[in-house]
Amino acid sequence: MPQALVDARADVDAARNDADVVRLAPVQLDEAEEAIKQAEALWYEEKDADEAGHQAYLVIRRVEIARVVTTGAKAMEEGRALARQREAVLLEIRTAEADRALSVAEKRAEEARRDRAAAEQARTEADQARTEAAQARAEAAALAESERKLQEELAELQAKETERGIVLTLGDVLFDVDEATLKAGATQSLARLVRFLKEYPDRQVLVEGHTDSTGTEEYNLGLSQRRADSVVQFLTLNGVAPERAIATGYGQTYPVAGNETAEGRQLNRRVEIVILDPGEKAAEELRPLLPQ
Amino acid sequence: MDCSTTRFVLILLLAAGLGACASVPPPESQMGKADLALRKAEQADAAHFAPLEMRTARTKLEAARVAMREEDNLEARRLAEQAKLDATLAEATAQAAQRQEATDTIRADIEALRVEAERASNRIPGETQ
Repeated sequence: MPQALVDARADVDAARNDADVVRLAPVQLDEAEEAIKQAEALWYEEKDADEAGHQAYLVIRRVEIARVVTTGAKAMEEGRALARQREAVLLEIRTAEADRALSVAEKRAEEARRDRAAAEQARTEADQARTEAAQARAEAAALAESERKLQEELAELQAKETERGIVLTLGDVLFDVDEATLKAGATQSLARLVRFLKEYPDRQVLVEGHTDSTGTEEYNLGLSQRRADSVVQFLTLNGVAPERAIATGYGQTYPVAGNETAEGRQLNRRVEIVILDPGEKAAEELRPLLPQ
Repeated sequence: MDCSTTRFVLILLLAAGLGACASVPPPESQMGKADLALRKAEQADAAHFAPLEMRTARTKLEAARVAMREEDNLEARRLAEQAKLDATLAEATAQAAQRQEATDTIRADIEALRVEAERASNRIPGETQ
């Protein structure tokens, strides 16, 4: 047996013992095996060394082919496994992306919820502010209305705003000459004052009696005191609390006009009702009996 | 030896001579198979992946054609048979190399995907897979 055929046989046997070649290139391995058998048979038949060398070359080529096919098949197997791995990695990545997207979406939804809640809060606050504004307007309107009403009522009493407060001057029509008793016709304007005081219970009044300069000072003081007392008495009789009205006679101390003429003297004979601002106490607002 | 006997011997000799020549016919079938194997290998881009085997196969097929023209049919057959298996080996080598390339590409893909995934997961801090 020529060495070439011995080597070829060894080559085929080695391939036959390679599990990968057996598994992955069975057809090529069978062809190599068939080729070496025929080459050996031919050698025994013809003993042609040249032909044996040629056949050995072909056998070795067939074993090479079987090995290369095995290598290619292994590469393909590995490729399939890697492709599956790639699918798994892709799935992993998509899952992670989906998770991230979900988490971002949840975050946005949470923000939207917060925004909505804030908007709702703002709306509530705006509603509240509107309600309060409306209330304030209503209160202002009510205040303006009561102020207007007060002004109307003061106008009805023919009161005047002075630096001492609101002053209602009742002329000498209240009393007869040298009398301290109220005339029957005088009660109409005093009844209006009573109504006013009942409507504004937080207001107190000073009731001041004044005379002209006719007669003595002592007499005038007494007369003006009695007249102021008469007015206060009327008020208390008609339900005004006594502490809300203090009567003081000032005589001729505070004239409002000259005593030289009859008209001036008539203006000086009067009772002034000073309506104090809410909260002011009549007892603290008295004018001194004698001017400084 | 009579005439007919001589003629018979001559015929026998002729037949033997013809037979000697006819025992190695032109390897048409082997040439065709080698040619087919070469073309298959070319289609598999074996010139790129197994240039040595391809060159060997071509050279041997060409040599086989020359031998056939010179009526050396024995040499022609052997060359054609070798050329065929050289070409087949070249084709198998090319196929294996291409499969290896494809596999390497997938491996690189996976690596790139992993790097990309790593970057993506780091894009939003505090959110890892």
